[in-house]
Amino acid sequence: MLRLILKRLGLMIVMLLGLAVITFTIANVAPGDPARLAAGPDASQEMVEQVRAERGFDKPVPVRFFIYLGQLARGDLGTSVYTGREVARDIAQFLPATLELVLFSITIAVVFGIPLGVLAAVWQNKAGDHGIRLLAVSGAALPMFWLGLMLQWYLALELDLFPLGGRLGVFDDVPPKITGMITIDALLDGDPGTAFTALWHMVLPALALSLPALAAIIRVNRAEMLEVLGRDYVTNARAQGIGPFRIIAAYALKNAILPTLAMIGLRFGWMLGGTVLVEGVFDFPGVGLYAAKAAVSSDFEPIMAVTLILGAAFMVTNLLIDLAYALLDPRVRNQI
Amino acid sequence: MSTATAQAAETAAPRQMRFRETRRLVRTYSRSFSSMVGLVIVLIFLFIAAFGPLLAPYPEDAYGAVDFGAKLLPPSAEHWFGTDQVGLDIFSRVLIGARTTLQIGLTVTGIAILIGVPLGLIAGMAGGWVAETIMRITDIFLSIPGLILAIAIVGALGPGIGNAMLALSLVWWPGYVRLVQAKTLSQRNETYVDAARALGAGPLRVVFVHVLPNCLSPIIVKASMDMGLAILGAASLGFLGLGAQPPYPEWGAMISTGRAYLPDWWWCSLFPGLAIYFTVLGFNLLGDGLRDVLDPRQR
Amino acid sequence: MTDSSTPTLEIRDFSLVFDTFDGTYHAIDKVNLTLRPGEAMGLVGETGCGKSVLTRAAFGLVPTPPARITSGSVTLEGRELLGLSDRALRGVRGKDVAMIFQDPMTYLNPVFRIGTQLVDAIRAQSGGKASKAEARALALEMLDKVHLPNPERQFRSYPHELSGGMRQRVLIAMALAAKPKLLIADEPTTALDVTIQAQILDLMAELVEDMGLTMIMISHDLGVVAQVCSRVAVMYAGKIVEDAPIRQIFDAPSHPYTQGLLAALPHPFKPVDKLASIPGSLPDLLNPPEGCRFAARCAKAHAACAAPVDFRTVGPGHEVACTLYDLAETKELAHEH
Repeated sequence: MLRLILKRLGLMIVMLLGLAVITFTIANVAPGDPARLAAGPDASQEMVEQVRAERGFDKPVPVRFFIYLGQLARGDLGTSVYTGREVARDIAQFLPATLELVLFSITIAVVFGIPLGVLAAVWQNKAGDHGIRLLAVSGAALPMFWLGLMLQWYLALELDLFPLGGRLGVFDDVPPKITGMITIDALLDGDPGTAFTALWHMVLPALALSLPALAAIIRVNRAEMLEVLGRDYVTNARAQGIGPFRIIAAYALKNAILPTLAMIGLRFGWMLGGTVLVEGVFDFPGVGLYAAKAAVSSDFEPIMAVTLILGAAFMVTNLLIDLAYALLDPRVRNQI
Repeated sequence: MSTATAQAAETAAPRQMRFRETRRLVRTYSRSFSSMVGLVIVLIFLFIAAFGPLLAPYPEDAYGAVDFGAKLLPPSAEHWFGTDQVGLDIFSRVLIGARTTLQIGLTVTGIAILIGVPLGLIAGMAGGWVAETIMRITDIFLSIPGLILAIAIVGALGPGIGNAMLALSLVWWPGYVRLVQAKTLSQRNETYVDAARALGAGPLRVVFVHVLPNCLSPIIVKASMDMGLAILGAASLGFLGLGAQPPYPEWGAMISTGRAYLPDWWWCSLFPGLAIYFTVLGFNLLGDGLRDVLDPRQR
Repeated sequence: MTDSSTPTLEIRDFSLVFDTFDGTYHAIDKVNLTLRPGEAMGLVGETGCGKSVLTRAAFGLVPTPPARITSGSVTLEGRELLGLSDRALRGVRGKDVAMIFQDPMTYLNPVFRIGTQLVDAIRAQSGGKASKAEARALALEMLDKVHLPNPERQFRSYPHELSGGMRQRVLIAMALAAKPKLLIADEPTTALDVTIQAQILDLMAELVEDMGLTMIMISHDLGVVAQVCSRVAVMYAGKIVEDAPIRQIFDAPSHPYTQGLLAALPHPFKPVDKLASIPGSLPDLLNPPEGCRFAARCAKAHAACAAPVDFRTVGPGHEVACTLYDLAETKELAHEH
C-alpha cells in the first residue's frame, strides 16, 4: 500500500511538471507579447517593460521556464493586473468555497446516482428503468449554466424557496475561519444554524453542478450492475439461496462500484471546471467565479494559476480514487 | 462450375453478407425507441442548420438589426419565442444559430480526430519511448478539467468564436488517442494480424487494412457523443463571454444576454437553452444507439 | 425419511424455448428424467445440447424472458417446483438442491473472502437460522471434508489467491454444506488440468460413496461420467436420446448418436487407428425437425425417422429413442459399426 502511494506521488510530481509545461506554453505561444499579457491590455509601454524585466520575459525560453518553475515552487502565482493582488492569496481565499460546493455536489451525485443506477439495472426495461434513464440522458445534455439559471429563476425568484446566491445571507454572521468551508467552520464553532444556512445556499448551485455527474454515475453503475448481475458468481450465490437484497447490495454492487469509482473521480474534475460556469450564476465567491471574471477581462496570470490549481486538485482526487480502488479490490491490492 | 462463375460467387458472397449485416444493424437500431428519437432530433437539427435562414420568419434579425419598437415582447403568434432587448425575434435567431452550432461541433470533433487518431495509431503501433511520450502527454492533458484548459487557451488567444473552437479542439484530442491506442494494441496482438505480418504485410498495410477499420466503429460512436459535448462546451464559452460575441446568434451567448432579463423576460434565456438541450440530447441518444449496434461491448 | 419409491427428482415432459430476435428457439423438447435417492447420474451431450439449461431452468436459474417453459413438471421428492415463487425456489436452491459449476475461476466473487462467501451461503442455506459461529464451524468442517489443505488460512484468502482445483473444492464444500437432497455438478472438471481433474473426480466419487449423495453430473465426456456415475442419460439437441446404466452404455450403446460419442472416445485398450467424428452439425432449433433430431447426421436414418420418436426399452433400465429397434431388419442395422 505504501509503495503504491509513493509510486503514485512520484508520478503526480511528473504530471504536475507536465501541467506547468502546458500553462507555460500557453502563456508563451500566445500571439503577442507575454509581458503585455501579464501587464494587462491597458498597461503603458513603460509598465510592460517593467513587467518584462521583473518576470524575466526578456530571457531565452528555457531560462524563463525555470524562472517560472522557481516562482511556482515559492508559491508565487503572479499578480492580477486589475486588482494588483497576489493571485496565490486570492486563490487561498476562494478555493475553500469552491471545494465545499464541489464536495457537496459530488455527494449529491453519488448518494443519488449509485442507488438509481442499481435500481435501473434491477428494473431493466421496466417503467422505473425508463424513468431513471430519461433522467440520465437529460442530465448529460443539459447545459449546467442554463440549468442553474432556470433553477434560480423558478425556485428562487418565482417560488422564493431558496436564496438567490452567495454563501450566506447579508445579515448572517460568518463563523471564524478555520477550514474556510462555512458549513464545517460553523459546526466547529457550535453553530448548526449557520451551517444549515450555508448548506441551504449551496443547494441550487450544487444541483446544477451535480446533474451531469449524477447522469454519468447512473449510466456507468447501471451498465456495470447489469454486467455483474450476469456473472457466474452471482449465479452461484443465487444457487446457494442467498437473498436478492444481499446479492444486489453486496455481491454485485461491490464489484460494480469499481468502474463507477473511476467515473466519480473523473466527474469530480469536471465539476471543478463546471464551477466556472455555475458560481457566476449564483454569485458564489469561489475560484470558478474568480477565473470567469479574470478570463473575461484577459487577466492572464489568475487564469493560469487557476488552471494549475484545479489541475493539481484533479490529480489529487485521482490519487485518492486509485487508493480507494486498491482498498476495495483485493486483486489490485495484492499486485502492489 | 467454370472459374468465372466461381469467382463471381466468391465476390458476390461477401457483398451479400455485408448487405445482410447492414440490414441487421439498421433493424437493430430502429428497434430502439430512444435511438430513433435521437436520430429524428439530429435530422431535424441538420435540416434547420441547412435551411435555417430560409425557415426563419425574420432572417435579418440574426445579425444586429435593431427594432426597439418590438423589444421584449412575450411569445406570440408573430414571435413564437418572443423578442429580445433590442426587439430581435428569438425564434429566428435560434433557427439561424443552429448552423453555428453545427459548425462548432463538426470543427471541434474533426480537429480532435485529426490530431488524436494518428497519435493513437502511432502510440499503439510503435511502442517504446515514442508511445510512452505520447501517452504521458495525453495523460497530462486528460488530468486537467477540459473547460478550464479551454478557458486558459481562449484567455491567451483572446475571446471570439474562432478561438473558442480552436481552444476546444486543443483540449478534445486526448480522448481519441486513448481510444485508438487501446484498440490498436488489442488488434496488434490478434492472431490474424500476426498471420498477415508473417505473410509479409508491412506496418502501413497492417494499420490501414487491419487496425484502422476495426477502430472505426468506436471512433464513430465517440464522435457522435463528442458532437454533443463540444456543442455544450462552445455554448459554455459563449455564456462566459469568451466565445461568440453578441449580437452573433449563438445559443450560449444568447442565454448570457438573456440572463440580465430574468425573471420578467424569461423567454430570452429559456428558448436558446432548450435548443442546446435538445440538440445535445439528440447527439447523445444517436451515439448511444450507434454504440449498441456497432460496438456493443464498449461502454 | 423419504420413501425410497419416491424419486428424488422427477422431470416430466419438460419443454423450454427462448424467444429471440430471429424467432422461437426450441432449446429443450419434452424431456423426461427420473433420479432415485442415492443415484449418481451422468447427463451427457455435446456443447449446446441443452443439458445445462435443463438443470438450471428446472430450479429457476434461467432468466424468463427470454426463456419460457412451455410444458412439463419438475418434482423434488414429490413436490412440484414449476410455478413456485422466486422466494420459495430460493429456499429450495442451496438447501435441497446444490450446484457446482464448470469454471471455478468465475463462480467465486473476486472481492469477498472465501470464508465470507462460505458463511453467507451456509447461513442462507439454513434459512438464516445458523449463527455466524455455527456457520463458520461448519464451513471449516466442510473445507476439511473436501481435503482443502490448511482450511483456517484459506478461510481468510481471496479467490484469486487459490488455484483452480482449490477453488473447485471450496465450491463443492459450499454446495454440500447444507447436506442437499440433490447435487448438480455442471461440468465440474472441464476447466481444470488433467491431474487436478482426476483428483476432483476422486473426491466426488468418494463423496457419493460416503455421503450417499444423489447427483446429476453434466459432462460432454462419457469417460469423466463413467468414473463417478452409475447411470447415464445422453442428450442431443434438446432431447434425451438414450438412458441406461453406465455399463450398458459402454457395452451396448444403442442410439446411433451414443455410438458416435463412444467412437469419438479414445479407448485405453484398443489400438487407435482413427478417432471417429460425427459429420454434420446440430439441427436448426429455430425450426427443429418434427421427427428424430439426429436423423440429418445419422448414417442409418430411414423414412420412419421423420415422425416423432418414442422411447423403446432395449434392456434392463435401458431406454432409447430410436426407430431402429422397431423392425427386425433394422435391429440388425442398429448394432453395426
